[in-house]
Formats: sequence, C-alpha cells, structure tokens
Amino acid sequence: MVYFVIQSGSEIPEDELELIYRLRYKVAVLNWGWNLPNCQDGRDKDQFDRPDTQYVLVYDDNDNLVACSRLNTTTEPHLLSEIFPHHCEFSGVPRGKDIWELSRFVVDKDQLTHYQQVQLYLQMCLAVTKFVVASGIRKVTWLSHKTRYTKSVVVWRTRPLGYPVHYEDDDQDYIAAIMDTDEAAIGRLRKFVKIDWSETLQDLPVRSARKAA
Amino acid sequence: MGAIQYLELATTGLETIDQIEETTTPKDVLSVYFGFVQNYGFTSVAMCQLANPHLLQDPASQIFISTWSEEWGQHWWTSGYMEHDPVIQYLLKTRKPFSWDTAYRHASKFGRKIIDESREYGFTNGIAFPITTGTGPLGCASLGCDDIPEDPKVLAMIELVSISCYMHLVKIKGLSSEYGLGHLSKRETEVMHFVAEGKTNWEIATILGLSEESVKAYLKNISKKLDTVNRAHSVSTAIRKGLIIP
Repeated sequence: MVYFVIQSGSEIPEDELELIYRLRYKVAVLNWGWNLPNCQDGRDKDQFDRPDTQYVLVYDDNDNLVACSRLNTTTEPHLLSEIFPHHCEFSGVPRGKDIWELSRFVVDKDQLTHYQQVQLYLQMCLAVTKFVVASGIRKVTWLSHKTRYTKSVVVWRTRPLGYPVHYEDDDQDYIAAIMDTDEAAIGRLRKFVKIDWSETLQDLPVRSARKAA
Repeated sequence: MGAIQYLELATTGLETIDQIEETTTPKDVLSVYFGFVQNYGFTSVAMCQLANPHLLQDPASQIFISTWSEEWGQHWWTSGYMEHDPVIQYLLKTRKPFSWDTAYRHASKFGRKIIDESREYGFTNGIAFPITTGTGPLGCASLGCDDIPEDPKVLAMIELVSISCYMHLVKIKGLSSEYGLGHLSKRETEVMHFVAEGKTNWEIATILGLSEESVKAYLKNISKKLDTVNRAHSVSTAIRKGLIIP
C-alpha cells in the first residue's frame, strides 16, 4: 500500500526535499542516463524547485519515498519556457493561469516489482489529474519520451507542441505536449486502466499532510 | 520545405488529430487518416495491432484498418501472413520507423515471398511506424508509396498523427492498455522469441551479443513478470498472452 502527499515546496521540510532531489538523481541520471547540468553530490535540484512548486510525493508503508513529480505554474519561468522552448515550435510555449507544467515524474524501480511500478505510475497519473482538476487547472504541459506521449493520448486529450527531438543521452525521442485535465480524463483513466482501485485511491485526497512518523 | 510549408504541415497535422478524435467508427478513422497521408504521396495504409494470430477468436475484435483491396486483404488474412509478414516481424526488433526494404532484408524466405507477392497487388515501397508504449510494441502503421518522403519533419508529423489514430482506435474498440503486447521489454521479447525457437541460453547470448548470465537474468525477470515456474511455462504463457508470436 502506498500513500500520497501533495505539498508545496514551502511546506516541505528541508530534509524531505533532499530525499526528493536524491530520488530524482537516482532515477533520471543513474537509471535513465540524463545528462543534467548542475547535478552535484547525487542531487537533482534546479531553479524550478521553488517554494510555490507543488510536489506529488508517494511513500510506501515504511515511509520510504518511492515516487515523486512536480508541478509548476506556466506564468513563471519553467522548463519549457527557459530550457526547452525549441520543443514548442508549432505555436510557442503555452502559458496561462490555468496551465501548469508537470516534470520530473519518477518512480524508484528498485523498491518495486514490475506490476507495482505499473500500478504506481497509473496511480500517480490519477493523483496528479485529480489534484490539478480540483485546483482549477485545465491543462498540463510536459516534455517526455515519445512512448509516454503514446500512453497519454489514450487517456487525456493530448496534443504535441512540436516535433519529437532525439536525445543521445538515453537514445530516446522526446515530445513536448499539452493535455486537457478534466473529469472526463479521470473517467477515461479509470476506464482504460485495469487496476484494483482501492477505496483509499477512489477517495484520494487532493491535498493531505504527510502522516506522522 | 520552407517555413510556411512547415507551418502548414503542423496545422494540417494537428487538425487531422482533431478530426480523428471526433470520429466514432474505424471506417471514419481510416478515411481521415488516409486523406492526410495521401498529401505526402502515400497510396495505401494499414494499421495493425500486434497480436498472436493463433489466439484471435475474431479478427474483427482487434485493431486493423486498411485501404488494401479486398482480394489482397482476404489473401493476407486467410494465408496466415500476419504471422510471417516481415513488417510485423521487424516490429519486434525496433521502435523506430523503418522502410519495407529494411524489413525485407531481415525477412525469412517465406516473409520475402509475402512481400514479393504484395508487389503483384501494386505495393512497391513503404514505411512502417511502430506504435510503442515503452515496454514493447503495440502495433504499427504501415504506409505504402512509390518514394518515401525524405523530409524528417514530414515523417515525424505522420508518426504523431499515426499515434493519435492508433490510440483513438484503441478507445473506439474499448480495449484496455493491457490488451496486446506491452508487458515485456524489447530485449525480453527478443529473448523469449529465441527461447520459443528452442535455442539454448548460450545460443541466445551469442545471437544477441550478451553474456550467458545476462540471458539468465532476463529469463528470471520474465518468469517474475509472467508468474511462471520454468522455461517451458514461460514460453507457453508468453504465447498464450500474445507476447510472442511462435
């Protein structure tokens, strides 16, 4: 069983933020082979980890952080606007009060079986979608593997923002995309994904404090 | 192509994705999709789900749309060509678009016969776009033409439209993401393919350029994923689930 916590950077204690940065380094740099600048001492932290950044955190029963992702507003500088605008050649970088950017969607595979990884990935998708819908966010942008784009298309109304770009770091094509986040997407996610929805997940709180250790 | 043509390409591609998502039948999906790719010189399309042909109770239940002639389509299905078609076989080896010529070069003798025969039905050249979700191929879009467009942006847009087209068909068919392939990684699928052919670990290691220990590790992982107890059980389960085509 896992549990979710969604908190802003300003609400998360410094030692917990460290765990997030270290998990992201482990997955993105060590597992995926990303060549990230400014990664020091086994930490992936950049200028987009801000007090107003929203973090989706997933803990296992033993309180280990097993997955995380982050959401940033697009009215402020974010990954697509500052680092990857060339991925948005169709009509520029989308910005707006009701558009957020999702990034660093990582799952610690070492601690989970394949089946658990798939389940967790889908549960995180649901958690993020429910949270942004409840927050009045209509669209989410992201930059990810072409294969994730393919998965996204079947659940969310997803549109590419530019052509795929190949990166040698991990020999993958990456696509920037924008997807609609609404109740229909939540419904489709449940319809197309066959996992055992627990009561807890059905009632997944859109915001909750981490349980006491 | 100049900047204006690229803008048109992007606009047309995105509009086509919109139109595809408004359709409610495979026939309408095919009409919109074919209308789009015809702009770039393609003369035929086939979009096919990768599945174990021996397990298909009803071919109509799977994802398959094409502009093929009824005669060729019937011949392809009834002759069991799905199992040996070089384009489908090559899907197991790559996640990048590939030409029919490439598939032909890697084909078995019987596979080459299929492509040779298809030429009699007017197919000359073409390109296939694998539809993958990271853990393995789901299917492909295979487009026929005389000359494959050389512009990478044209091919990239066709691939994006193809992805939307395939996944919209998944929605229309009401198939879950667990339907078809997708549980084994590309390398695991390759290993299982050779295991099913009766190869030893040493032979598989030699063919794939791996160590014997790596092959054992892959088999162990496959066994965990499929919840199987031995090599034979893994093969039978993989075939039954349509993860490999025997």
